[in-house]
Amino acid sequence: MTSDLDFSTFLAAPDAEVAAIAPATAIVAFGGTRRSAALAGVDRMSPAYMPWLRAGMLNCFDLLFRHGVRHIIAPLAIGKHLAEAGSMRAQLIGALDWGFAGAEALADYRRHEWRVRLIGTESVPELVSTGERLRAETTSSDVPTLWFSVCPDPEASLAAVLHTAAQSGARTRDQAVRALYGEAIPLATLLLGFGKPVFSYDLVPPLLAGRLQCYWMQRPGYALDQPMLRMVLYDYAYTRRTGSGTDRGGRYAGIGAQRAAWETDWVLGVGVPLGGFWFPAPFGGLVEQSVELDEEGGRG
Amino acid sequence: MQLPDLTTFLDSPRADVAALAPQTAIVSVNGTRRSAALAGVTPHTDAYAEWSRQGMLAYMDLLFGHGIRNVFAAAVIAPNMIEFAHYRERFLGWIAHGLAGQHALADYARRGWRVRISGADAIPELQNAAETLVAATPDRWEHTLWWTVTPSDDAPWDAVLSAGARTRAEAIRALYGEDIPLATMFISFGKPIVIYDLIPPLLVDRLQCYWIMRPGYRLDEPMLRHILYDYAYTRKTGSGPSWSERYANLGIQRGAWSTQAVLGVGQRMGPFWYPVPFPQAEDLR
Repeated sequence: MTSDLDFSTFLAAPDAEVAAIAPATAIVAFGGTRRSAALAGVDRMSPAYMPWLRAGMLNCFDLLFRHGVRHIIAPLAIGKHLAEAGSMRAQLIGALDWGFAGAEALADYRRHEWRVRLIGTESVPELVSTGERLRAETTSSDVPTLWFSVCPDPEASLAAVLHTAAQSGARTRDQAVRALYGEAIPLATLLLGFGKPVFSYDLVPPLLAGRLQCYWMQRPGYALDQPMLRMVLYDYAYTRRTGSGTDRGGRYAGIGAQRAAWETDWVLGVGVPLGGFWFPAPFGGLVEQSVELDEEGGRG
Repeated sequence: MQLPDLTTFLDSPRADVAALAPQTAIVSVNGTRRSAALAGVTPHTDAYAEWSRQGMLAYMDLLFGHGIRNVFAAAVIAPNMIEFAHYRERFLGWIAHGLAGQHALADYARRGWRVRISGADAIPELQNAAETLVAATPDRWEHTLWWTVTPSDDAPWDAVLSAGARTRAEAIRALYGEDIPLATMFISFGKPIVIYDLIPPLLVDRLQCYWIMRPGYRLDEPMLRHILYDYAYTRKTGSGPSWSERYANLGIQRGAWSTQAVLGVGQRMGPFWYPVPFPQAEDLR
């Protein structure tokens, strides 16, 4: 299939035009917020940390919603965070409640006209009231919805599905989604993660993953910017649509010229250590072919 | 903790590598027609079937030989059932023969593999093949190859939810007839896509995901060992330098952590998708 827009035109297109090809639901599993804070010179223990984090998050989600995503599923706290006990846990719960459902946060959601929900609280009872407050305070319908999730471990996420199915009698995924979340939610078709390519039920609510096109950025925290998002959406909407509208027999006619590309031993997902962190192993690609493709405007 | 030397790891005996391999891996082998075209083999011929069979056996031998005990591999996914809807009977007959025909049974027996088809309840044409494989279970086995077949997008979850189980362990026993260690590795090909046709929903643990760019069954031992090294060591970042050391040196890595490069973004190469280059961390200062 040939794309309707070349890459440069797509990068400069109005948001509304890009929105037409965006997924209805995206899972946005960013990480590395400590790393991001350290790079920005923000002390995680200082009062400035949470406002700084929240501002970055709001910008990031606003960017996604402006580009046509209707539902964002975003893990707020997962196993390693929720494994804390005692006063550390109480401090975390308090920070989550204030940071994502406090007065300032609610004002932000109203200003943006977002509906916000918190899922997974069946496993984190201290946050049930936080979820209820969000439900009561962000009631608009037919507006973008931000689904924050909390999950102490991947097992809890699947346990909630099975428990709900047993309680409600749900026998299909649609029924189970309605029983668990109270409404139908389009399945997610975009996963935008950070760092290592991992798929796990603490990041991805099991029932909501559709045919997930996956991407992992390497900027820690909420550092997604518009060019990066558009690069991802171009790939999602156009570059990956390789199977449709193409004569199958004709696809292989020129494959001999691509032999070197299909014999590479590079593996997407293999990394190298970088100062105690994981970083993707470099991939040189195929310089000559890349140049040709750039000239044709085929790059995504 | 210092990471073990990669070169030593690549040359170490298989038994050493096997000690840190996952018990269960999910694999997705795609691009077999592309691979055949590169090898000069014409798809949908007898020669193609034989060539594919040999490739599959070598591929599974490689995985089992490195310590993986359960391999889940998709034999039929929902898009196949759409693509071959007009030839359903012939397509499924070909699949049944490939998975549980005489040659296949002999291959499995020679290797001592136990083989199962999961999902055949939803595809009646494959039930005989599934039963044939159960009947052919060897007396002693260490490795199980689980072929999964999925007739529709909804089938994997419909099966899970219809089991009426209250826990994952119960559901696994209901669907697979036994306990199975959860999968912690996914090896696929080409575009980074995750769908439940490929990853059985009940078996997903924290899946470390890898996509090779060689089509078909052309994963080789050095590539697999690089993957296993990454899986066992490089990704265990919490066990490296101390907390304070990791963050103290962050400034000199600023370029790497500011890159706009995104894993998963590709370019067109002819009618196919291919990853764009990814910069080296040291070049991003």
